[in-house]
Amino acid sequence: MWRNIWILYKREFASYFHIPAVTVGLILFLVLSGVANFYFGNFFTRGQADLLSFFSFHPWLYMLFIPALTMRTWSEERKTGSIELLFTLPITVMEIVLAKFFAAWSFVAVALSLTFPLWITINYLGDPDNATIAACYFSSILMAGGFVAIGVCISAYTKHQMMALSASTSVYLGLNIIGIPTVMESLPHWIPTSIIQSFSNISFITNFDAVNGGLLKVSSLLYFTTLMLFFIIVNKFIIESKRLVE
Amino acid sequence: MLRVRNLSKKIGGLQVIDNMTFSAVKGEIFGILGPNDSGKTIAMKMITGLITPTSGVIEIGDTDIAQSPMLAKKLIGYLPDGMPFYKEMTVINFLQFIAEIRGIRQQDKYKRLAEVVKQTQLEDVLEHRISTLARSFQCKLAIAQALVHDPEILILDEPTNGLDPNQEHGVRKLIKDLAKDKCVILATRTISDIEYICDRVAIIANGKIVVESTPEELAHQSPFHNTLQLRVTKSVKSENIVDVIRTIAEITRVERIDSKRDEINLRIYPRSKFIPLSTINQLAEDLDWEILDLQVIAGRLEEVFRTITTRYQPVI
Repeated sequence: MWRNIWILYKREFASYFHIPAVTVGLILFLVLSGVANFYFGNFFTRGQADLLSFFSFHPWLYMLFIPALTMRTWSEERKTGSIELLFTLPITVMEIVLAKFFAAWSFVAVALSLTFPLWITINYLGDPDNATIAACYFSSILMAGGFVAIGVCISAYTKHQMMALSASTSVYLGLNIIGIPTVMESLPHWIPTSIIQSFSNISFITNFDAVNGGLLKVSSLLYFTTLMLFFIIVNKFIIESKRLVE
Repeated sequence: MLRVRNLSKKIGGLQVIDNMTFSAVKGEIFGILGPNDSGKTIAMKMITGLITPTSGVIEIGDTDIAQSPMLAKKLIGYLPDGMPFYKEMTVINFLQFIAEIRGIRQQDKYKRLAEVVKQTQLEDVLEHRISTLARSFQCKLAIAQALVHDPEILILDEPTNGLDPNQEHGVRKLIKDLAKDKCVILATRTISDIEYICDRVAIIANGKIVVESTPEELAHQSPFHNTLQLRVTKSVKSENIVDVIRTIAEITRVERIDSKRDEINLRIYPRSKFIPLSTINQLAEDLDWEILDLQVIAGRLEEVFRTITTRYQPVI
């Protein structure tokens, strides 16, 4: 199984470097990361040698970048017909699903790793807590896994890339804003607090914020891991059900 | 080597494949000929495990594809309609990918790829991106990826689609060479694919196999098989040629067919296999007809195909 996943993963990962839209998305992600940290995050006025403002924008940066990456994962295979070739090979649906997920997740990890100049910069400018920064990078990658799992799953549902892009972005936006306190406070008062809290607990921002202070909360790690597993399994079911129908 | 029994498929209430049964053996090229939307591609997809049948059995050797799909897929090489590839890959990278996923061991991989590349004449385009390949090379690549693991059975869906006559000839020759030690199933809507390379053919219409035989025997079922075509110069002497020929005892029917203004073109139907050529020649000599052409017509598969399939509506 892992041998097949590795072979499929290599092909899938390499393909990202041939897609202009992904390259553009990557460049935009890196540029916006810098802009977010130094401009929107008021880096210089805060006078703190840390990357907290940089990481705080990650749910929003991923909301823009990851749909562009994941929208073609299954859609392109369906559009070109290469999905037919895949399904006649001696490989299982789960192997394909896992390979695609890991490839997309790895690419996001590569994109994130390319922000290392920011880390070097703040080490040059001050004396940051590098352990906290490392923990934040780890958590960000984990959160990215959740984003990717959702995006790849949505791509499995439609052969139209634009539809996958819009749907993914909408889902990410929803999962982001339900974690913003001012948004939750503006909800009608007749909605029980427990329900509002439940929604807030499944937000990317709520769970990522928890680690932004340098604390790796088990609940947050469990949340992202469960999210990934859930959408990988849903992805598999979508693909198998579409095969039955088609 | 391949046995398909009572294969059926229903999609959304529509019976797209209806009780299809056929078999093919090693060394044979079995053609499945049908018009567009007759169910050929769906049948091929079921045989390759891409689609699950509603009912029926597909056996590759002793392996039931429903019971052991992974094992069955290892025995099959598939050329899908439309030749879908990963177009950003180079030819050699794509073949290496297929070889790896097909389980060919690292130490055997390069030797096997070299054999396949030589067989399919892809040596000159190995480093080319697939998106830049000409149609004929894409077709050869499609065959190459189906051959990489040396399968017992080749399923080829419209392999000559979009090729010019020279390219078609090259691909047909390649398929013919491959079939010597494999069982080949060829789905096509091109009559000449069947005529040139298939040993047996099934004509499919509306999801059903309506007739199965050799291409020659099917062609003999043409209503025009073994008829005579007679072309004479139009003149006073040949005015009543139809009535005269009708008097020949061995002739059952005479009909005029399209011709030039100064010619009479006839199709003559003999009563039996005996064709009265000498009688007609004698009549022509006696009545001073100027014969431009006299030939015995061999039936064509196209005529049989048209007759059979125009009775059926498309499946989808």
